[in-house]
Amino acid sequence: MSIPFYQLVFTDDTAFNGGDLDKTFWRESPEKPIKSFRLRLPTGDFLYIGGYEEYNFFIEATQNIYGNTKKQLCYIYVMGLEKDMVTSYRIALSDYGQYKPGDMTVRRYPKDKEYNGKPTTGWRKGCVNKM
Amino acid sequence: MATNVIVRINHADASHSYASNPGDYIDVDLAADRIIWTAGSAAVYNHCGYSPSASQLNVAATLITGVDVEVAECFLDDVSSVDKLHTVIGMGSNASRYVFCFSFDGATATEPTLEAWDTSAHSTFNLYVLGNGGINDSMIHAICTTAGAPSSGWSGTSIAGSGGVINLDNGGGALSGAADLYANIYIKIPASFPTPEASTPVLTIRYTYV
Repeated sequence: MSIPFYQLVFTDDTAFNGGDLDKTFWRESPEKPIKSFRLRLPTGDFLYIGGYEEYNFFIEATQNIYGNTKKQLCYIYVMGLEKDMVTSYRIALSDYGQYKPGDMTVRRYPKDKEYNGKPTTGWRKGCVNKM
Repeated sequence: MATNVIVRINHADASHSYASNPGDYIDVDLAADRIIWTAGSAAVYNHCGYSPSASQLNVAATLITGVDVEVAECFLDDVSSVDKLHTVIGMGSNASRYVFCFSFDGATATEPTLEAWDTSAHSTFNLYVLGNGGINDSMIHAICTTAGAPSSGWSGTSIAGSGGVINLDNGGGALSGAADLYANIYIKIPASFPTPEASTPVLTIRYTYV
């Protein structure tokens, strides 16, 4: 059995297996409080987080408007909100800038400034102290 | 499927949006076409029928004549068309709104941005046209025109690196669904600029999806 790209476990102990880098199905996941979030990293390791009030998840891509390049997948972002602070787990997907695939950068930002100083959409409810 | 973006240029009438007049736009083949800023010449002109060579483009270079000079022409080198070069209508510091169109086919988690870099690595901006590392010195000026036409003579944002970018939805945030976003882009060379250069900066759209 293959290991899902990511897996959400909810407070009722049911689980949702996400899609892939092309279509993550994040917004199609059940509207139930998330107890834990597990992401399979490009290295084969896992990021396993829980205990946040809310979660967000998305893929960052770039597309040069000319110059013989295809769309480039840059990073996976996993975010957790706790007490108006967002912890951002950014995982590199390709040799991009100074990073190698799987390199993770963890930063904390005030809510609504979590992505280059701007807010993000797509947050799902979590559950504190349920991991 | 992941959200994707189609880049289009207006080649007919910069008062027409893509939604109202799709025939006014040409889709940029992101794997093959080029966008060229140039002064133009007897060999480099609209519908010339060939893709200009490097030497032809050198002859068509912009010359500085004691004042800041805005590069006069912008062409799409549409390699799959018979005409090859197509003037990007409305490009410049004028009041044109519908010039460069970025059509997203789905929602995003953040607001798409337009950036400029040395290469596809998106890690440096040391080309002279990008300000040689100084963001405010970039010669590439861009402005979001999604919400409305700019004022004539606009200077917009000097784009370079991650510190000099423009939001493409006029600061409206993430896209809730498919949308056409617009920008105008021009290059202005300072009168004091001392170094001849033929540059190939990378203009990039950065966006997110789920």
